Amino acid sequence: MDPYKVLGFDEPKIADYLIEFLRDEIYKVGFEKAVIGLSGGIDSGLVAYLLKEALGKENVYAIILPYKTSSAESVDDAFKIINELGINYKKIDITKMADSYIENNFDKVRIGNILARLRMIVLFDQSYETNALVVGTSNKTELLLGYGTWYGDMASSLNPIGDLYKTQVRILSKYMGVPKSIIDKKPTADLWVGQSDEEELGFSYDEADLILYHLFDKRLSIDEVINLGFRENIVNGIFERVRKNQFKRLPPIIAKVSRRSINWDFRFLRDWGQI
Amino acid sequence: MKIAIAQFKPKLGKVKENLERIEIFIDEAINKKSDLIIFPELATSGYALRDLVSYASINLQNKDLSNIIQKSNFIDIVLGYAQKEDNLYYNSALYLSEGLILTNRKKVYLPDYGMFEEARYFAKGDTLETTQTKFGKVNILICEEAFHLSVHHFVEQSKSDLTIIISASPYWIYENKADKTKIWDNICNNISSLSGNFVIYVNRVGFEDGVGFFGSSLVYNPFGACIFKGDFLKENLYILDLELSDIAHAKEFMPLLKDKSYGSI
Repeated sequence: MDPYKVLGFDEPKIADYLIEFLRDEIYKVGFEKAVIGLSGGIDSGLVAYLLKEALGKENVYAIILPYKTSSAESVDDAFKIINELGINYKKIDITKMADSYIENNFDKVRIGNILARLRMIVLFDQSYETNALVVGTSNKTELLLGYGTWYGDMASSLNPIGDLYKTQVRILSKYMGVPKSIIDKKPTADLWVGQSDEEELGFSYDEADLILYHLFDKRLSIDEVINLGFRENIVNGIFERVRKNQFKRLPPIIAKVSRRSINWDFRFLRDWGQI
Repeated sequence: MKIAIAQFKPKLGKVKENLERIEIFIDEAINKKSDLIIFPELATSGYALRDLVSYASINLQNKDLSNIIQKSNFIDIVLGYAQKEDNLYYNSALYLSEGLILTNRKKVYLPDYGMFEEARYFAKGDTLETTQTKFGKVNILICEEAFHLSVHHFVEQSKSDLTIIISASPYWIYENKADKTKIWDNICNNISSLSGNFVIYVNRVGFEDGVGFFGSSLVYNPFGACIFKGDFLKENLYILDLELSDIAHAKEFMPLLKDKSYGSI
Protein backbone atom coordinates (compact mmCIF):
# COMPACT_ATOMS: atom_id res chain seq x y z
CA MET A 1 0.00 0.00 0.00
CA ASP A 2 1.46 3.34 -1.04
CA PRO A 3 0.80 6.00 1.62
CA TYR A 4 1.43 8.76 -0.90
CA LYS A 5 -1.40 7.41 -3.00
CA VAL A 6 -3.88 6.59 -0.22
CA LEU A 7 -3.26 9.89 1.60
CA GLY A 8 -2.89 12.04 -1.52
CA PHE A 9 -5.03 15.12 -2.15
CA ASP A 10 -5.48 18.04 -4.49
CA GLU A 11 -2.40 20.03 -3.38
CA PRO A 12 -3.28 23.51 -4.72
CA LYS A 13 -6.72 23.28 -3.13
CA ILE A 14 -5.43 22.19 0.28
CA ALA A 15 -2.73 24.86 0.14
CA ASP A 16 -5.42 27.49 -0.53
CA TYR A 17 -7.52 26.08 2.28
CA LEU A 18 -4.73 26.19 4.88
CA ILE A 19 -3.61 29.66 3.79
CA GLU A 20 -7.17 30.93 4.14
CA PHE A 21 -7.44 29.19 7.54
CA LEU A 22 -4.36 31.08 8.78
CA ARG A 23 -5.59 34.42 7.50
CA ASP A 24 -9.13 34.01 8.78
CA GLU A 25 -8.29 32.68 12.24
CA ILE A 26 -5.45 35.18 12.82
CA TYR A 27 -7.21 38.31 11.53
CA LYS A 28 -10.47 37.58 13.34
CA VAL A 29 -8.79 37.92 16.73
CA GLY A 30 -7.15 41.19 15.80
CA PHE A 31 -3.66 40.01 14.83
CA GLU A 32 -1.74 40.34 11.57
CA LYS A 33 1.47 38.56 12.44
CA ALA A 34 2.69 35.12 13.33
CA VAL A 35 5.71 33.71 15.10
CA ILE A 36 7.01 30.15 14.69
CA GLY A 37 9.87 28.12 16.00
CA LEU A 38 11.87 27.14 12.93
CA SER A 39 13.81 23.95 13.54
CA GLY A 40 15.11 23.32 10.05
CA GLY A 41 12.76 20.34 9.74
CA ILE A 42 9.94 19.79 7.30
CA ASP A 43 6.98 20.57 9.60
CA SER A 44 7.96 24.07 10.71
CA GLY A 45 9.37 24.60 7.21
CA LEU A 46 6.00 23.93 5.59
CA VAL A 47 4.23 26.18 8.10
CA ALA A 48 6.70 28.99 7.25
CA TYR A 49 5.85 28.63 3.56
CA LEU A 50 2.11 28.68 4.28
CA LEU A 51 2.43 31.69 6.59
CA LYS A 52 4.35 33.70 4.04
CA GLU A 53 1.50 33.19 1.56
CA ALA A 54 -1.15 33.93 4.17
CA LEU A 55 0.27 37.02 5.87
CA GLY A 56 3.11 38.29 3.68
CA LYS A 57 6.80 37.83 4.50
CA GLU A 58 7.03 40.99 6.60
CA ASN A 59 4.45 39.56 9.02
CA VAL A 60 6.16 36.24 9.69
CA TYR A 61 8.76 35.85 12.45
CA ALA A 62 10.86 32.70 12.43
CA ILE A 63 12.72 32.02 15.65
CA ILE A 64 15.66 29.61 15.59
CA LEU A 65 16.25 28.16 19.03
CA PRO A 66 19.38 26.02 19.15
CA TYR A 67 20.78 24.28 22.22
CA LYS A 68 24.47 23.38 22.47
CA THR A 69 23.78 19.83 21.26
CA SER A 70 21.60 20.91 18.30
CA SER A 71 23.02 19.81 14.98
CA ALA A 72 24.59 22.50 12.81
CA GLU A 73 22.69 21.04 9.86
CA SER A 74 19.35 21.94 11.53
CA VAL A 75 20.37 25.59 11.90
CA ASP A 76 21.70 25.68 8.32
CA ASP A 77 18.42 24.28 7.01
CA ALA A 78 16.44 26.84 8.99
CA PHE A 79 18.48 29.60 7.34
CA LYS A 80 17.91 28.02 3.95
CA ILE A 81 14.15 28.54 4.49
CA ILE A 82 14.57 32.06 5.87
CA ASN A 83 16.69 33.11 2.90
CA GLU A 84 14.30 31.52 0.46
CA LEU A 85 11.23 33.23 1.94
CA GLY A 86 12.72 36.54 3.11
CA ILE A 87 10.79 36.35 6.39
CA ASN A 88 11.92 37.99 9.64
CA TYR A 89 14.09 35.91 11.93
CA LYS A 90 15.89 35.80 15.22
CA LYS A 91 18.36 33.24 16.50
CA ILE A 92 18.17 32.77 20.24
CA ASP A 93 20.46 30.23 21.84
CA ILE A 94 18.70 28.52 24.76
CA THR A 95 21.82 26.83 26.18
CA LYS A 96 22.31 29.30 29.03
CA MET A 97 18.66 29.16 30.08
CA ALA A 98 18.57 25.40 29.89
CA ASP A 99 21.88 24.72 31.60
CA SER A 100 21.08 27.01 34.51
CA TYR A 101 18.35 24.49 35.40
CA ILE A 102 19.51 21.12 34.05
CA GLU A 103 21.55 18.95 36.41
CA ASN A 104 23.96 16.14 35.66
CA ASN A 105 21.58 13.37 36.62
CA PHE A 106 18.76 14.46 34.22
CA ASP A 107 18.10 11.81 31.58
CA LYS A 108 17.77 12.67 27.91
CA VAL A 109 13.96 12.57 27.79
CA ARG A 110 13.76 14.91 30.76
CA ILE A 111 16.24 17.27 29.09
CA GLY A 112 14.33 17.02 25.81
CA ASN A 113 11.12 18.09 27.55
CA ILE A 114 12.90 21.00 29.20
CA LEU A 115 14.28 22.17 25.85
CA ALA A 116 10.85 21.93 24.21
CA ARG A 117 9.27 23.91 27.05
CA LEU A 118 11.97 26.57 27.07
CA ARG A 119 11.42 27.04 23.36
CA MET A 120 7.72 27.46 24.09
CA ILE A 121 8.49 30.18 26.66
CA VAL A 122 10.69 32.06 24.21
CA LEU A 123 8.14 31.76 21.37
CA PHE A 124 5.28 33.07 23.49
CA ASP A 125 7.50 35.87 24.78
CA GLN A 126 8.49 36.78 21.23
CA SER A 127 4.83 36.74 20.27
CA TYR A 128 4.23 39.34 22.98
CA GLU A 129 7.06 41.51 21.70
CA THR A 130 6.03 41.33 18.06
CA ASN A 131 2.26 41.34 18.67
CA ALA A 132 1.98 38.04 16.84
CA LEU A 133 0.29 34.69 17.42
CA VAL A 134 2.33 31.53 17.96
CA VAL A 135 1.54 29.13 15.15
CA GLY A 136 1.93 25.44 15.91
CA THR A 137 3.82 23.00 13.74
CA SER A 138 2.83 19.56 15.10
CA ASN A 139 1.45 17.18 12.49
CA LYS A 140 -1.41 14.71 12.92
CA THR A 141 0.91 11.72 13.25
CA GLU A 142 2.75 13.29 16.19
CA LEU A 143 -0.44 14.55 17.80
CA LEU A 144 -2.14 11.15 17.61
CA LEU A 145 0.92 9.24 18.79
CA GLY A 146 1.55 11.80 21.53
CA TYR A 147 5.07 12.17 20.18
CA GLY A 148 5.64 15.68 21.46
CA THR A 149 6.07 17.59 24.70
CA TRP A 150 2.90 18.68 26.44
CA TYR A 151 3.02 22.48 26.83
CA GLY A 152 6.25 22.38 24.85
CA ASP A 153 6.24 21.97 21.08
CA MET A 154 2.53 21.03 21.33
CA ALA A 155 1.66 24.52 22.60
CA SER A 156 0.42 27.12 20.13
CA SER A 157 -2.50 29.41 19.34
CA LEU A 158 -3.43 27.69 16.11
CA ASN A 159 -2.03 24.97 13.89
CA PRO A 160 -2.50 24.64 10.13
CA ILE A 161 -0.96 21.16 9.79
CA GLY A 162 -2.38 19.31 12.80
CA ASP A 163 -4.82 17.40 10.58
CA LEU A 164 -2.15 16.34 8.07
CA TYR A 165 -0.22 13.11 8.53
CA LYS A 166 3.57 13.22 8.08
CA THR A 167 3.14 11.75 4.60
CA GLN A 168 0.70 14.55 3.74
CA VAL A 169 3.10 17.15 5.14
CA ARG A 170 5.68 15.79 2.69
CA ILE A 171 3.23 15.93 -0.22
CA LEU A 172 2.25 19.52 0.52
CA SER A 173 5.84 20.59 1.22
CA LYS A 174 6.85 19.43 -2.22
CA TYR A 175 4.03 21.43 -3.77
CA MET A 176 4.87 24.55 -1.71
CA GLY A 177 8.52 24.42 -2.74
CA VAL A 178 10.17 23.49 0.56
CA PRO A 179 13.80 22.59 -0.34
CA LYS A 180 14.15 18.95 -1.32
CA SER A 181 17.02 18.33 1.09
CA ILE A 182 14.71 19.29 3.97
CA ILE A 183 11.86 17.09 2.71
CA ASP A 184 14.15 14.09 2.23
CA LYS A 185 16.22 14.22 5.40
CA LYS A 186 15.66 11.79 8.26
CA PRO A 187 12.98 13.14 10.66
CA THR A 188 14.38 14.13 14.06
CA ALA A 189 13.23 16.13 17.06
CA ASP A 190 16.96 16.91 17.51
CA LEU A 191 16.57 16.86 21.29
CA TRP A 192 19.77 14.85 21.68
CA VAL A 193 22.65 14.01 19.38
CA GLY A 194 21.73 11.50 16.69
CA GLN A 195 18.05 11.26 17.67
CA SER A 196 15.82 9.69 15.01
CA ASP A 197 12.01 9.78 15.24
CA GLU A 198 11.54 6.50 13.45
CA GLU A 199 14.18 4.61 15.48
CA GLU A 200 12.75 5.96 18.72
CA LEU A 201 9.16 5.12 17.76
CA GLY A 202 10.05 1.68 16.39
CA PHE A 203 8.20 2.07 13.09
CA SER A 204 8.34 4.26 10.03
CA TYR A 205 6.07 7.25 9.41
CA ASP A 206 4.90 5.61 6.19
CA GLU A 207 3.67 2.62 8.16
CA ALA A 208 2.30 4.65 11.09
CA ASP A 209 0.36 6.99 8.81
CA LEU A 210 -1.39 4.14 7.02
CA ILE A 211 -2.22 2.38 10.28
CA LEU A 212 -3.52 5.58 11.92
CA TYR A 213 -5.51 6.47 8.82
CA HIS A 214 -7.27 3.10 8.75
CA LEU A 215 -7.82 2.94 12.51
CA PHE A 216 -9.19 6.43 12.96
CA ASP A 217 -10.09 8.19 9.72
CA LYS A 218 -11.66 5.05 8.28
CA ARG A 219 -12.74 3.68 11.68
CA LEU A 220 -11.53 0.13 11.02
CA SER A 221 -11.10 -2.25 13.96
CA ILE A 222 -7.62 -3.34 15.05
CA ASP A 223 -8.26 -6.79 13.52
CA GLU A 224 -9.35 -5.31 10.22
CA VAL A 225 -6.17 -3.23 10.06
CA ILE A 226 -4.00 -6.28 10.84
CA ASN A 227 -5.83 -8.16 8.07
CA LEU A 228 -4.73 -5.46 5.63
CA GLY A 229 -1.20 -6.79 6.18
CA PHE A 230 0.21 -4.62 8.96
CA ARG A 231 2.23 -6.22 11.76
CA GLU A 232 0.07 -7.11 14.76
CA ASN A 233 2.43 -5.76 17.44
CA ILE A 234 2.83 -2.46 15.59
CA VAL A 235 -0.93 -1.95 15.12
CA ASN A 236 -1.61 -2.76 18.77
CA GLY A 237 1.27 -0.57 19.89
CA ILE A 238 0.07 2.38 17.86
CA PHE A 239 -3.50 2.05 19.11
CA GLU A 240 -2.22 2.00 22.71
CA ARG A 241 -0.03 5.06 22.13
CA VAL A 242 -3.00 7.00 20.80
CA ARG A 243 -5.17 5.94 23.74
CA LYS A 244 -2.60 6.72 26.43
CA ASN A 245 -1.82 10.15 25.00
CA GLN A 246 -5.39 11.42 24.76
CA PHE A 247 -4.62 13.73 27.72
CA LYS A 248 -2.12 15.67 25.62
CA ARG A 249 -4.79 16.60 23.12
CA LEU A 250 -7.19 18.12 25.65
CA PRO A 251 -7.18 20.95 28.19
CA PRO A 252 -6.80 19.88 31.84
CA ILE A 253 -9.85 18.23 33.37
CA ILE A 254 -11.83 20.22 35.91
CA ALA A 255 -13.78 18.78 38.84
CA LYS A 256 -17.44 19.44 38.15
CA VAL A 257 -19.15 21.10 41.10
CA SER A 258 -21.61 23.59 39.63
CA ARG A 259 -24.58 23.19 37.31
CA ARG A 260 -22.59 24.67 34.49
CA SER A 261 -18.97 23.65 34.18
CA ILE A 262 -16.43 24.80 31.62
CA ASN A 263 -16.50 22.65 28.47
CA TRP A 264 -19.09 20.14 29.74
CA ASP A 265 -22.14 22.36 29.86
CA PHE A 266 -20.55 25.76 29.27
CA ARG A 267 -19.86 25.17 25.61
CA PHE A 268 -18.60 27.80 23.21
CA LEU A 269 -16.20 27.76 20.31
CA ARG A 270 -13.00 29.72 20.73
CA ASP A 271 -14.23 31.96 17.90
CA TRP A 272 -16.76 33.36 20.37
CA GLY A 273 -13.89 35.64 21.39
CA GLN A 274 -13.32 37.14 17.95
CA ILE A 275 -13.45 40.89 17.45
CA MET B 1 -34.91 35.77 -14.16
CA LYS B 2 -31.84 37.24 -12.48
CA ILE B 3 -30.65 35.61 -9.29
CA ALA B 4 -28.05 36.79 -6.79
CA ILE B 5 -26.04 34.18 -4.89
CA ALA B 6 -24.66 35.56 -1.66
CA GLN B 7 -21.70 33.33 -0.83
CA PHE B 8 -21.71 34.97 2.57
CA LYS B 9 -19.22 34.86 5.45
CA PRO B 10 -21.08 35.30 8.73
CA LYS B 11 -19.29 36.06 11.98
CA LEU B 12 -20.05 33.55 14.70
CA GLY B 13 -22.61 34.96 17.12
CA LYS B 14 -22.37 38.55 15.83
CA VAL B 15 -25.99 38.89 14.75
CA LYS B 16 -26.14 42.68 14.49
CA GLU B 17 -23.01 42.85 12.35
CA ASN B 18 -24.21 39.99 10.16
CA LEU B 19 -27.60 41.61 9.63
CA GLU B 20 -25.94 44.87 8.58
CA ARG B 21 -23.77 43.05 6.05
CA ILE B 22 -26.74 41.05 4.78
CA GLU B 23 -28.52 44.34 4.08
CA ILE B 24 -25.49 45.60 2.14
CA PHE B 25 -25.53 42.45 0.00
CA ILE B 26 -29.26 42.89 -0.62
CA ASP B 27 -28.81 46.52 -1.66
CA GLU B 28 -26.11 45.53 -4.11
CA ALA B 29 -28.31 42.81 -5.60
CA ILE B 30 -31.16 45.32 -5.94
CA ASN B 31 -28.82 47.76 -7.70
CA LYS B 32 -27.88 45.03 -10.10
CA LYS B 33 -31.56 44.42 -10.88
CA SER B 34 -31.72 40.95 -9.39
CA ASP B 35 -35.10 39.32 -8.80
CA LEU B 36 -34.05 37.01 -6.00
CA ILE B 37 -31.13 36.91 -3.56
CA ILE B 38 -30.21 33.77 -1.65
CA PHE B 39 -28.20 33.64 1.57
CA PRO B 40 -26.77 30.45 3.09
CA GLU B 41 -27.86 28.47 6.15
CA LEU B 42 -27.59 30.31 9.50
CA ALA B 43 -26.34 33.43 7.76
CA THR B 44 -27.42 35.71 10.61
CA SER B 45 -25.66 33.76 13.35
CA GLY B 46 -22.85 31.55 12.06
CA TYR B 47 -22.93 27.79 12.29
CA ALA B 48 -21.31 26.11 15.30
CA LEU B 49 -23.28 28.04 17.88
CA ARG B 50 -23.29 25.63 20.80
CA ASP B 51 -24.39 27.71 23.82
CA LEU B 52 -24.36 30.84 21.67
CA VAL B 53 -27.66 29.58 20.30
CA SER B 54 -29.55 31.42 23.05
CA TYR B 55 -27.76 34.71 22.36
CA ALA B 56 -27.74 34.50 18.56
CA SER B 57 -31.29 33.36 17.71
CA ILE B 58 -33.94 35.74 16.46
CA ASN B 59 -37.62 35.82 17.35
CA LEU B 60 -39.65 36.66 14.24
CA GLN B 61 -41.87 38.90 16.38
CA ASN B 62 -38.89 41.10 17.19
CA LYS B 63 -37.90 43.94 14.92
CA ASP B 64 -34.47 42.43 14.12
CA LEU B 65 -35.52 41.35 10.65
CA SER B 66 -37.85 44.24 9.82
CA ASN B 67 -35.31 46.04 7.58
CA ILE B 68 -34.73 42.89 5.59
CA ILE B 69 -38.43 42.10 5.29
CA GLN B 70 -38.94 45.69 4.13
CA LYS B 71 -36.29 45.24 1.43
CA SER B 72 -38.21 42.28 0.04
CA ASN B 73 -40.50 44.88 -1.57
CA PHE B 74 -37.70 45.30 -4.09
CA ILE B 75 -36.26 41.81 -4.35
CA ASP B 76 -37.26 38.34 -3.19
CA ILE B 77 -35.02 37.03 -0.41
CA VAL B 78 -34.13 33.58 0.85
CA LEU B 79 -32.37 33.72 4.20
CA GLY B 80 -31.11 31.07 6.59
CA TYR B 81 -31.22 32.10 10.25
CA ALA B 82 -31.27 30.83 13.83
CA GLN B 83 -34.85 31.19 15.01
CA LYS B 84 -36.17 31.45 18.55
CA GLU B 85 -39.78 30.50 19.13
CA ASP B 86 -41.54 29.48 22.34
CA ASN B 87 -38.21 29.01 24.10
CA LEU B 88 -36.98 26.60 21.45
CA TYR B 89 -34.41 27.19 18.74
CA TYR B 90 -34.69 26.24 15.09
CA ASN B 91 -32.36 26.19 12.10
CA SER B 92 -34.77 28.00 9.78
CA ALA B 93 -35.11 29.45 6.31
CA LEU B 94 -37.28 32.35 5.16
CA TYR B 95 -38.71 33.15 1.76
CA LEU B 96 -39.54 36.87 1.75
CA SER B 97 -41.38 38.68 -1.02
CA GLU B 98 -43.19 42.01 -1.31
CA GLY B 99 -42.79 42.74 2.37
CA LEU B 100 -44.30 39.44 3.43
CA ILE B 101 -43.03 36.17 4.85
CA LEU B 102 -44.16 33.58 2.31
CA THR B 103 -42.42 30.71 4.08
CA ASN B 104 -40.64 30.13 7.35
CA ARG B 105 -39.29 26.60 7.24
CA LYS B 106 -37.65 24.81 10.19
CA LYS B 107 -34.96 22.28 9.31
CA VAL B 108 -36.29 18.74 9.62
CA TYR B 109 -33.09 16.69 9.42
CA LEU B 110 -30.58 17.98 11.97
CA PRO B 111 -27.24 16.15 11.75
CA ASP B 112 -25.71 15.08 15.05
CA TYR B 113 -23.06 12.58 13.92
CA GLY B 114 -19.34 13.11 13.41
CA MET B 115 -18.54 16.77 13.97
CA PHE B 116 -22.19 17.86 13.88
CA GLU B 117 -24.17 18.91 16.95
CA GLU B 118 -27.28 20.49 15.46
CA ALA B 119 -29.80 18.16 17.08
CA ARG B 120 -28.35 18.99 20.49
CA TYR B 121 -29.17 22.68 20.16
CA PHE B 122 -31.99 22.99 17.67
CA ALA B 123 -35.53 21.63 17.80
CA LYS B 124 -36.64 19.67 14.78
CA GLY B 125 -39.02 21.07 12.21
CA ASP B 126 -41.81 18.77 11.09
CA THR B 127 -42.68 19.68 7.53
CA LEU B 128 -41.25 20.18 4.12
CA GLU B 129 -43.13 22.73 2.09
CA THR B 130 -43.26 24.22 -1.35
CA THR B 131 -43.63 27.96 -1.74
CA GLN B 132 -45.66 29.48 -4.57
CA THR B 133 -43.65 32.49 -5.72
CA LYS B 134 -43.85 34.87 -8.67
CA PHE B 135 -41.15 32.79 -10.35
CA GLY B 136 -42.86 29.43 -9.86
CA LYS B 137 -43.01 26.80 -7.16
CA VAL B 138 -39.94 26.80 -4.97
CA ASN B 139 -38.61 24.20 -2.54
CA ILE B 140 -36.13 25.44 0.03
CA LEU B 141 -33.96 22.71 1.49
CA ILE B 142 -31.57 23.31 4.37
CA CYS B 143 -28.24 21.53 3.91
CA GLU B 144 -28.50 17.98 5.34
CA GLU B 145 -32.11 17.70 4.18
CA ALA B 146 -30.82 17.38 0.62
CA PHE B 147 -28.92 14.20 1.68
CA HIS B 148 -32.20 12.37 2.34
CA LEU B 149 -33.83 10.45 -0.50
CA SER B 150 -37.23 10.99 1.09
CA VAL B 151 -36.70 14.70 0.49
CA HIS B 152 -35.79 14.07 -3.15
CA HIS B 153 -39.08 12.21 -3.44
CA PHE B 154 -40.88 15.19 -1.92
CA VAL B 155 -39.21 17.50 -4.42
CA GLU B 156 -40.29 15.31 -7.30
CA GLN B 157 -43.89 15.06 -6.09
CA SER B 158 -44.12 18.80 -5.39
CA LYS B 159 -44.04 19.56 -9.14
CA SER B 160 -41.73 22.43 -8.33
CA ASP B 161 -39.71 24.67 -10.66
CA LEU B 162 -36.81 25.71 -8.49
CA THR B 163 -35.07 23.91 -5.68
CA ILE B 164 -32.90 26.09 -3.49
CA ILE B 165 -30.45 24.39 -1.14
CA ILE B 166 -28.89 26.63 1.47
CA SER B 167 -26.00 25.22 3.44
CA ALA B 168 -23.13 25.64 5.88
CA SER B 169 -21.15 22.71 4.57
CA PRO B 170 -17.71 22.09 6.05
CA TYR B 171 -14.81 21.01 3.87
CA TRP B 172 -12.96 17.72 4.07
CA ILE B 173 -11.19 15.38 1.72
CA TYR B 174 -11.86 11.81 0.64
CA GLU B 175 -9.53 9.32 -1.04
CA ASN B 176 -8.43 9.59 -4.66
CA LYS B 177 -8.22 13.39 -4.50
CA ALA B 178 -11.98 13.70 -4.06
CA ASP B 179 -13.46 16.16 -1.60
CA LYS B 180 -16.75 17.41 -0.20
CA THR B 181 -17.60 19.32 -3.39
CA LYS B 182 -18.24 16.01 -5.13
CA ILE B 183 -21.24 15.03 -2.99
CA TRP B 184 -22.94 18.39 -3.66
CA ASP B 185 -22.26 18.11 -7.35
CA ASN B 186 -23.95 14.71 -7.32
CA ILE B 187 -26.96 15.89 -5.30
CA CYS B 188 -27.55 18.95 -7.48
CA ASN B 189 -27.12 16.92 -10.63
CA ASN B 190 -29.58 14.27 -9.42
CA ILE B 191 -32.31 16.64 -8.30
CA SER B 192 -32.07 18.88 -11.34
CA SER B 193 -31.95 16.15 -13.95
CA LEU B 194 -34.61 13.94 -12.34
CA SER B 195 -37.09 16.65 -11.32
CA GLY B 196 -36.60 19.18 -14.14
CA ASN B 197 -35.87 21.90 -11.57
CA PHE B 198 -33.25 24.57 -11.55
CA VAL B 199 -31.18 23.69 -8.49
CA ILE B 200 -29.43 26.56 -6.74
CA TYR B 201 -26.98 25.51 -4.05
CA VAL B 202 -25.68 28.33 -1.86
CA ASN B 203 -22.93 27.46 0.61
CA ARG B 204 -21.31 29.85 3.08
CA VAL B 205 -17.60 30.58 3.49
CA GLY B 206 -15.31 31.35 6.43
CA PHE B 207 -13.69 29.32 9.21
CA GLU B 208 -15.03 28.53 12.69
CA ASP B 209 -12.43 27.09 15.07
CA GLY B 210 -10.54 25.56 12.17
CA VAL B 211 -13.58 24.19 10.35
CA GLY B 212 -13.67 25.68 6.85
CA PHE B 213 -16.95 26.28 5.04
CA PHE B 214 -15.98 26.06 1.44
CA GLY B 215 -18.42 28.05 -0.70
CA SER B 216 -18.26 26.59 -4.20
CA SER B 217 -21.96 27.35 -4.65
CA LEU B 218 -23.62 25.72 -7.66
CA VAL B 219 -26.40 26.23 -10.15
CA TYR B 220 -27.69 23.30 -12.20
CA ASN B 221 -30.18 23.79 -15.00
CA PRO B 222 -33.29 21.57 -15.34
CA PHE B 223 -31.46 19.33 -17.81
CA GLY B 224 -28.92 18.44 -15.15
CA ALA B 225 -26.05 20.56 -16.42
CA CYS B 226 -23.92 22.69 -14.13
CA ILE B 227 -24.18 26.29 -15.32
CA PHE B 228 -22.44 28.03 -12.43
CA LYS B 229 -19.71 27.30 -9.89
CA GLY B 230 -18.80 29.78 -7.16
CA ASP B 231 -15.27 30.26 -5.88
CA PHE B 232 -13.75 27.96 -3.29
CA LEU B 233 -13.62 29.72 0.13
CA LYS B 234 -14.14 33.28 -1.18
CA GLU B 235 -16.93 35.58 -0.08
CA ASN B 236 -18.70 37.00 -3.10
CA LEU B 237 -22.03 38.12 -4.55
CA TYR B 238 -22.69 36.45 -7.89
CA ILE B 239 -25.42 37.55 -10.28
CA LEU B 240 -26.64 35.29 -13.03
CA ASP B 241 -29.54 34.83 -15.39
CA LEU B 242 -31.81 31.79 -15.39
CA GLU B 243 -33.86 30.97 -18.47
CA LEU B 244 -37.03 29.83 -16.73
CA SER B 245 -38.55 28.44 -19.93
CA ASP B 246 -35.91 25.69 -19.68
CA ILE B 247 -38.02 24.15 -16.91
CA ALA B 248 -40.98 23.38 -19.16
CA HIS B 249 -38.70 22.11 -21.92
CA ALA B 250 -36.85 19.82 -19.56
CA LYS B 251 -40.08 18.42 -18.14
CA GLU B 252 -41.38 17.85 -21.64
CA PHE B 253 -38.15 16.14 -22.62
CA MET B 254 -38.31 13.81 -19.62
CA PRO B 255 -41.92 13.71 -18.28
CA LEU B 256 -41.20 11.43 -15.34
CA LEU B 257 -44.15 12.77 -13.32
CA LYS B 258 -46.58 11.51 -15.97
CA ASP B 259 -46.49 8.08 -14.38
CA LYS B 260 -48.91 8.91 -11.59
CA SER B 261 -48.89 5.49 -10.01
CA TYR B 262 -45.33 6.17 -8.86
CA GLY B 263 -46.44 8.54 -6.13
CA SER B 264 -48.55 5.86 -4.49
CA ILE B 265 -45.73 3.31 -4.27
